[in-house]
Amino acid sequence: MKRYISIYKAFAKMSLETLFAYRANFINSSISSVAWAIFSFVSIFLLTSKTSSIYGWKREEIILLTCGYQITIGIFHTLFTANFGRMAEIIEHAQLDGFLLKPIDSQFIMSMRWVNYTSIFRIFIGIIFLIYILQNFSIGLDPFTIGIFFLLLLVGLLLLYSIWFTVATMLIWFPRLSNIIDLMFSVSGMTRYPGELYKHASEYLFLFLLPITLVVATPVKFLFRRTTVFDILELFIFTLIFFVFSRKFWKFALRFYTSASS
Amino acid sequence: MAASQDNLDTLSKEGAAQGVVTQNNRKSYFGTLPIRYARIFLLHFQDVFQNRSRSFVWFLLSLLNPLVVLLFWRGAFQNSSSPLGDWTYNAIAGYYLLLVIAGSFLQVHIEEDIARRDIQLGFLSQYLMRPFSYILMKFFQELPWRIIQGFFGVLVLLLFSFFIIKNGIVLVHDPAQIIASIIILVLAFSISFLFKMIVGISALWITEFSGLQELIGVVDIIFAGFIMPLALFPPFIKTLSYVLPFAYMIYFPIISLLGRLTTMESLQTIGIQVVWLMIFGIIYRMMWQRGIKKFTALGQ
Repeated sequence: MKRYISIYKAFAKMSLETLFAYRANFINSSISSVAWAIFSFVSIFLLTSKTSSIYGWKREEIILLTCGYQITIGIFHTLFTANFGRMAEIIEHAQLDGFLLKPIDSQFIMSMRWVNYTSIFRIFIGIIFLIYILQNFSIGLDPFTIGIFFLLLLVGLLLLYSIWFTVATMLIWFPRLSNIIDLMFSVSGMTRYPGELYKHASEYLFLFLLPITLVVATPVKFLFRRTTVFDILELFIFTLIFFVFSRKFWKFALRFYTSASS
Repeated sequence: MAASQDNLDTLSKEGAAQGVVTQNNRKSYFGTLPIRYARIFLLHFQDVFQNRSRSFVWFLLSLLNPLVVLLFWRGAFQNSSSPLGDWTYNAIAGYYLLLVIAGSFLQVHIEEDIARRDIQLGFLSQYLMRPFSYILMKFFQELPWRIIQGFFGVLVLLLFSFFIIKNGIVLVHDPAQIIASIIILVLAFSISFLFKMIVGISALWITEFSGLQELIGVVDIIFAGFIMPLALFPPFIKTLSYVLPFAYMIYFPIISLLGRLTTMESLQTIGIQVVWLMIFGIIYRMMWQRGIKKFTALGQ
């Protein structure tokens, strides 16, 4: 564990050096990160401007979902997305050999090699809007609730990561389908709407999307004390199942990896 | 993009072979010109078919967001009978389904290919050597993608209107308005294409291209009507969106097809579209003429 922490520190340092070395890239990703964060808020304010509640969710609660989404996705993009973005190329160009040969867990290096610092802006924007909404709609919170909120957020993050990693693993069979990673951005975007949306559309669709809908909704529901013990259990159980599955699936998929030289 | 590279290589060989003929016989050059572009078009069609699973994933991408927002409105309509004034649930459903088609057919994605492959990696010099117009080649490279994606969109529309949405979706049925809609559609595609060409060749000056691209992407989603019908926006943003060009690429073709434009409004839309087309045409020409000098000056 200690070894992994020190390795991760080295990765983080290298990513920071890259960030400073390529100025244009830094500006680009900062702009894009801020633009998408602002877009999420603009769109949810516009959508909710015509309606006061949806499936029992009040307007401010739906906006809070977007805040929770920004924070989660901000952390997610900072820690993982850059790695998923490169996975298709690494697999297609058979560079995966180099990663597999290293005396380190392959899932760890594939999902944590690069850190994208510019997405931190998104986390900040999410937190600023969260505070603004809480004050504007005078939702009082104690430190305990906030603590549990962030804890649940981290569990949700792990669930989101496991889903992404499972999907990205499929690239081993279909390396040219690199745009499924782009699709995952949209799928993650679905977490910023209440799960009831999909439930009322079709039970099958809901069952299919259930894990995704838990990622942000469960922590946010805790903020206005609507979370039941069942909700929390559901989040933990799904996270555990998906995380274990993502690991097993990766190990299984590696058996089908055809490297460059063999 | 390995596949498209192969095709382009075949193209360049063909182009070179035919280019020799061109030098000797200009008459046959002009005679075969449309056939050449048709051939480019067909080659890229093969490219799209080769990448059909990729193409389908791209389509899923443009399908997902409109459908999620549609589900959102469904919730709003359950709460009150008419939260959106004269937009009934069926009209809203029609809007988002047409948005899927518009997003896949009318939204041109040529800019990244131009900026990254042609300009940053220098493939542009290859094109400059060929006896083709660059913009037309890019047009015929993009068109097959849009046709296939639009076709997926039409399938989804049919599927939904038969099985899911009760009472069906009302589309434009007056002959004069159908013709107006087609004109608006063609103009919308042209504006969208020219706009993305401009964004693409802006990479000749701008190194921060992907930031610009994302920024334009966000502005486009808001003001082209991807979130919701612009008519339902708060007044200020609505006025702004009618001034910007984005609505004329996506939003107006949709509401025209929904039959929500009067004859007068249709003519007005066409007029504004023509103006935007001319503005973008002039900007593109100016940028191309200056940029191309800059590009050769770099010695690529």
